[in-house]
Amino acid sequence: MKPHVPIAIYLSLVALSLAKPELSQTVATVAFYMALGQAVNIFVGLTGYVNFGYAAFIAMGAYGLGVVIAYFPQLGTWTLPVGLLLGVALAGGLALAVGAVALRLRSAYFAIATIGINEALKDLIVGAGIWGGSSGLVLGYNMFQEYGRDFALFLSTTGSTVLILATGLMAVAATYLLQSREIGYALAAIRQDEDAAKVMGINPAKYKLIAFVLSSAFSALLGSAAFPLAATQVFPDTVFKVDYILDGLAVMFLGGAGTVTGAVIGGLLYVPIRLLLGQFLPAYQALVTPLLVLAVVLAAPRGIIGELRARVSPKIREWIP
Amino acid sequence: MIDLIPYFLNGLIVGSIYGLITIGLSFIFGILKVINVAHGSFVMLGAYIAYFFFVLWAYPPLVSIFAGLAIGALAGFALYHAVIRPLRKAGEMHILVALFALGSLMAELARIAWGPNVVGFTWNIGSISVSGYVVQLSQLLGAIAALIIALALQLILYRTSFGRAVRAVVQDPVGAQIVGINVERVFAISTAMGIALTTAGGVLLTLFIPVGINPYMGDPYTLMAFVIAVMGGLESTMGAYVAGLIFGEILSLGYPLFRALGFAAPYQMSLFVGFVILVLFLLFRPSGLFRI
Amino acid sequence: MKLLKVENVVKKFGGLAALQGVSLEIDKGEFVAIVGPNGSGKTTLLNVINGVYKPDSGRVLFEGRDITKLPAYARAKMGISRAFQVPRPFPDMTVLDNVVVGALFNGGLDLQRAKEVAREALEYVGLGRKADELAGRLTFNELRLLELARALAGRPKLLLLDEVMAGLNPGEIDNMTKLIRRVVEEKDIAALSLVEHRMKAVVQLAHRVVVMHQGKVIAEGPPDVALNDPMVVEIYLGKPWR
Repeated sequence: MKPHVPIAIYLSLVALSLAKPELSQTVATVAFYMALGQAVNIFVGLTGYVNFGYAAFIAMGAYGLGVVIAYFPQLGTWTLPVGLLLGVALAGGLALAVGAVALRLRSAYFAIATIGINEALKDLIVGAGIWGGSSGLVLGYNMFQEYGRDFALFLSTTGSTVLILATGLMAVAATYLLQSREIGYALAAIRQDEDAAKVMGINPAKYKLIAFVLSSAFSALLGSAAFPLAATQVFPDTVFKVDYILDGLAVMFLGGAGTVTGAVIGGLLYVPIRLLLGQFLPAYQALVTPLLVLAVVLAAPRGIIGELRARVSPKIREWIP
Repeated sequence: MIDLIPYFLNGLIVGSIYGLITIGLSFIFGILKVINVAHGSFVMLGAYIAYFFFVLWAYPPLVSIFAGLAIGALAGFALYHAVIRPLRKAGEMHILVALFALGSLMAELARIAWGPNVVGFTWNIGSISVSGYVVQLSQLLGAIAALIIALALQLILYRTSFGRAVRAVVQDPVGAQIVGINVERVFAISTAMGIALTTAGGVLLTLFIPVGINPYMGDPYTLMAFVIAVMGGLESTMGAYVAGLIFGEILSLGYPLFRALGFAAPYQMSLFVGFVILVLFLLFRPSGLFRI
Repeated sequence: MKLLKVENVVKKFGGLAALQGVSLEIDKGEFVAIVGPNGSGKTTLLNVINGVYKPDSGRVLFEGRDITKLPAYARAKMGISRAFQVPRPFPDMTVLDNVVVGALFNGGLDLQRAKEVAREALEYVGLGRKADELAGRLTFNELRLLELARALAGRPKLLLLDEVMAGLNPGEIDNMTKLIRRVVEEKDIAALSLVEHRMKAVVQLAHRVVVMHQGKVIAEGPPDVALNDPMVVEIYLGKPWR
């Protein structure tokens, strides 16, 4: 397997956003969906289990950084690394807890539990008035104080774009490394026949949990980048949006579930598809994503890369992992 | 001291509706082993059916429930043939994802067709007094209707040849096929019945949400139905109904409790408790409260 | 010490007792065939041995250790490999990668070594030239060989073969039988093979035959003795063996 193609695509996007800051916003949007698709792929694509709770993990990332910026201004610039770490830790811890409970059970129960996390966390934050409750966290003032005006502005534009790109790149690397190591074989076996995998010495719960925690951690970084950094605010209604999981699934399935390159290609196509259809049929834009997911799942469940891989010779297959 | 009895009565009445809403989910899962993650959108469909029958033709929910059953059955047939059957081979992940997308699609279509605003209606036929406590007659009748439908389903399952076929398929799909049961047909009819029960539940739900009908109203009911279904054993329809009553009590009694404790949004806290219950069940008793 | 000891195992499904107190022992280097009609309980027994089912009572000992409560994956790691009756390849992986999975997790090797062992196993069963094909594209006979290669790559101490001859033609059965016998002798392991009754070739090559009927062992011994046991003869349509 050779990961050059997806890595090259990411690196050219990094170059583009640094060379042309005016394109930063566009690059950020495309990269966000690419990275989200990759994060979804690391768990859903590699294990065949469905996590409907991605928004909850994105929200943990958003709140992790948001809370540190809002409540610990004395940390100054350190709020950034501390906040990012806290977001990842919150998401990873949540995934560990939910996964330990629900990944032992059949996949229907897991799906139920993940739909639950999202609603439940939002209910908890709003219901108990935690972290600003329903009025959220507004961070602009604190960010100016902590980072200084220029650096704060840089962070919320180019900075967040670079963080999104870096997250996507790390997720690509993780997918590639997972696939080419022992655990990749275990996950592929679990995905294709969990009972046979067990009989062959694989402990499915362990490997699924690793993928779940990793995938959640990447989602958290995206949440940190998109909300506290780029938007300088965190509202429960925007971070806990169920749409994210559908977006992530659309990107992953379009490109090819369980592949390294799939989400990269899927993300590059998904944003233009939505923009184009949105321009011609503005009233129906919201239909695009669910229709796309349905169409791909029903008509080409292996996605673009998956279909390609099944058709080309083993030599070319090496290049589109 | 808060008088909890009105909350208790209300919990029982609304719980009957929650039970009915959940039965369809458990029914489909029990037979097809498919968890309908688009569940809430069919509740939403039922609510709009009740709304339009009431405002356009002045038919109350106790009448439009038949329309809910019929439209739900048609939708269920379509769901089975368009989504579930083609994806049975592709695997559970694909079915779950497709259903989830379908649920979202239905909500967006509802928004385009019926607008994004919250609508509602009130069917007021007076109230009765149960040992000094006032109960809305329309809500009481709705709860009784839900109970009757739940019992009717048991009759179908245990007193008809279709019910026998269903139980045979549940125990051993391959064996059922061998003894001449058309498993495909059982699956299709079961999906239709399950969705019909869900939309019927959505119709009756409107008696309790005078201003709560909107395209996105389904999501919390998906989660609620999951919690109730897991409590009831996930595959047991009567278990789902009884668990619905219990969950109705949890939500209803939780409200004054969390308000008294000073929480900003007591209703949300009750829902959160619902999720905690779900986790506890998954942890300690995934087979649910009842083994039927 | 016996490699595998099954002690008085009972397994019920609902009211139906699939195993009614079955005991069994296997030594290293033995090739044992379990013969019995459909529903005799032999597949259930195999599932109890490799941990797919937990017995209602009785014990399973492997190398003297009680493994009755261990999950399937832990038993696989101890050296129990299984080939399924209906081949269960991972269809979207290459043939080689399928076998690598066996070598990695069943055999506990590192990735580098697992790949080497997997290639060897494929050569051993005669599938070497198919290594880079997707497993989903193999013929039925090839899938059977893949199952065997996958199980062998796990470097098992005990090889469980679930009717691996079913669906093969006489030539393929002959080839497979010799292969299994060779495996047992060359690698000094034990093999337990389930056989539909009257699969002559297999039974003759086995060191020992265990006959099961309605969840019980009704005869045991060298092939000729066990299969000519009067009770066995009576149950199998009243016709003596051969």
